[in-house]
Amino acid sequence: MRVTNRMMTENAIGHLNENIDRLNTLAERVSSGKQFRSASDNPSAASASLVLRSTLKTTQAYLTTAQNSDEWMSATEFAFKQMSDLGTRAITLAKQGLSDTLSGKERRDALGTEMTAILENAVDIANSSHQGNYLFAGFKVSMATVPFTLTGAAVTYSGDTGSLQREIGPNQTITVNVNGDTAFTPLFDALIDARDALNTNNAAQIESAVNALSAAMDTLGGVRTTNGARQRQLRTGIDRIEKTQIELKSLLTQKEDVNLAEAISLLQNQESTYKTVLEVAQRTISALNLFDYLR
Amino acid sequence: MSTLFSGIHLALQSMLAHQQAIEITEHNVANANTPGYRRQEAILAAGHPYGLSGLDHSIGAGQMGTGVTVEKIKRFSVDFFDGRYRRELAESKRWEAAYTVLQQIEGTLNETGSDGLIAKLDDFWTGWQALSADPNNTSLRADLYDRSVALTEAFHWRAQALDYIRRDQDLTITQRVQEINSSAEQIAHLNQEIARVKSVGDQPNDLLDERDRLLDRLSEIAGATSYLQPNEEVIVSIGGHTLVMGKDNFDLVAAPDITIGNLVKVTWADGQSFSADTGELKGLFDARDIHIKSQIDGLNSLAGGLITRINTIHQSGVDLNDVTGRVFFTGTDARTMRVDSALSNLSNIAAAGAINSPGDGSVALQLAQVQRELLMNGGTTTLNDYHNSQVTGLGLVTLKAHTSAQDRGLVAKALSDQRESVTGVSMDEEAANLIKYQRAYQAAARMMTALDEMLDKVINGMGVVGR
Repeated sequence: MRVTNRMMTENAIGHLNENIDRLNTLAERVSSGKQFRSASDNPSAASASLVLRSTLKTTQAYLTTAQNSDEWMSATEFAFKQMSDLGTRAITLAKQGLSDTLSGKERRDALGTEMTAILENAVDIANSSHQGNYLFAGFKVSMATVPFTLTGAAVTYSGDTGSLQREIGPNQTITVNVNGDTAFTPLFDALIDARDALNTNNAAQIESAVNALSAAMDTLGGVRTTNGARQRQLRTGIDRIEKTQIELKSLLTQKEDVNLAEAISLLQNQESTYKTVLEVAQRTISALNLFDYLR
Repeated sequence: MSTLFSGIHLALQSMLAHQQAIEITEHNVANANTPGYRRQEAILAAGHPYGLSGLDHSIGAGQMGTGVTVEKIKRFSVDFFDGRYRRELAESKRWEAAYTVLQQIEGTLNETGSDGLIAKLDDFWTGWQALSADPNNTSLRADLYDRSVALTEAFHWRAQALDYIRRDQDLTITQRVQEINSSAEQIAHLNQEIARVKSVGDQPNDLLDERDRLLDRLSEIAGATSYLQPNEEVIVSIGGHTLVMGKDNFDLVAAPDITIGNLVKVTWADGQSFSADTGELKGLFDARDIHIKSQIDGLNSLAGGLITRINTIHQSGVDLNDVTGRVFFTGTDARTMRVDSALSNLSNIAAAGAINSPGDGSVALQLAQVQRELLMNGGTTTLNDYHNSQVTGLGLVTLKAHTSAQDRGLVAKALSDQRESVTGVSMDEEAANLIKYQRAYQAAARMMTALDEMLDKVINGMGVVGR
């Protein structure tokens, strides 16, 4: 083929451009640490990485929710523990009240007073809140009055039966609250009975109050167990989410991130190629021709 | 009968012929880098010989040569390559033009970066998710509100950027149309000149170069095809409509058209519709009317789907003031979409399913779950996946444009090299020719000197015997 000077120059420039473009791509890869800059560089990997990033974000949201729910349930459990201690103390007091060695005044002054304190304490615990939200009021986590109010002969519940649902995975919801009314009202009734019986020195009523207290404690224990079981389930969930997260992150890295060692060595390789191309171009562009030799 | 004077004439002719040949060499060297220039060569031919008359036959043999003349100036062209080269060139320019625009869109939208629309959608979903877990938390409400505003702004910004890029193409299209018109006018003029020069038997080499250069450019812009007529005029047409015929050219008009949203529409001046099958204009039209449009349409249907679904659920929910039936978004598409202004009062965001239930996040949860609902493409795709396929679709189109531009460019380059190999100027060749002609010129001059001496002998040295 007949080769002209312009052909040589144009080819040299073409090759220079090609090589510097490649150099630029590789340099960008190394400096950004990403395999692609836009979807067109690698459409399938870009699509996969978009999905992975979405999933990762959603998973993070699930994790936050699950951790918050865990705190809520721990607060619930703590309230139950206090309530249960109070209940046990109340049963002990009531049983002391059955003893024949005590006088009516003693029953009223010593035992009745403490029972009153226990009752008030119990109502306070039932009104406990977590981060400004009542634990045992159903959906009415915030309202003008407290969920449980003690008015002499009875404790009234002004919450509702709403169960707070939290999503901790796609279509996986758990209930984080327990119904305060179911859990505590029998105990409050029994405590009021016991207080009244101690104050009025009524042995038969004390006896029935002891039984009622035991039954209420059973109910309380049952609800507490439910909460505990849910919390265990939740913690398994958290564990699973955390593992999924690690898995997703490593997948995302595989799709997106550059193998730095490989990228750098490719870059270096390309650099030396470019140097060679420059060397060759210098020769072809400034190539001697016959004019230099004829005289 | 040959005379000494005819010998002088023969030497002079040789000197003149080689002088012209050297000038042609000079022209070649001068135009070595001129785009579209094709090398020329002096075709030397021996002069017409004559036989000796019967009377003279006794003193020599017949058919005397009469020296050299430049018979014609040859132009090295390969019309056979031109057609193929222009077709490939047009295709490579078509994809190149489309690629430039598509790359611009990809770079502007930057969907694979952390600021992509999918990331904004995810922020929106997780905002609802977080609120569902703690529905009366004011800071979560504020966060959700901010995320929703950011989402609508992401929609606007994209709709606007796409629209700008789309309109930007009109400027290029208009410029190209003007270039076609002026090139067509020049070609019509050249046709006339070339036919005239040809008719007197000369070679209009440089005019042909200029016309070929314009034809190359026209194929680049619009894939124009040309047909050479016996009188050396060309007929040029684009997309089946004649652009140049003899000395006449037909104009194209680029004007904003109301039926396509005031974008520029190109028509022939005679009212016929214009379509380019290939070339830069085809790439620009494809980008403007197919690729960018499908991105805008996709963005709008995504926004529409989102607005409708979110509003339906939000209207069924109850806010902290026990009010129900509030919309969340106003507007219908990416451009008009806004977060309803009432919601800047954060307690107006509905998260609960029933009145008087500040702890109920069931509606917020339902809204978060819209993320997984198959709302798009006739109930087969989630909103996120719909946009994901938009992004990937654009990526694929861009990639195709890029590889096609490269592949077609390589073919065009190979053909151009072949053409250049025939038509290009080689310095070495020219140097060799220069020496060749220079030596011949010197020899002819020597011949003339020899003849001069011979004449001197005849005039001054003869008939002086015994003087």
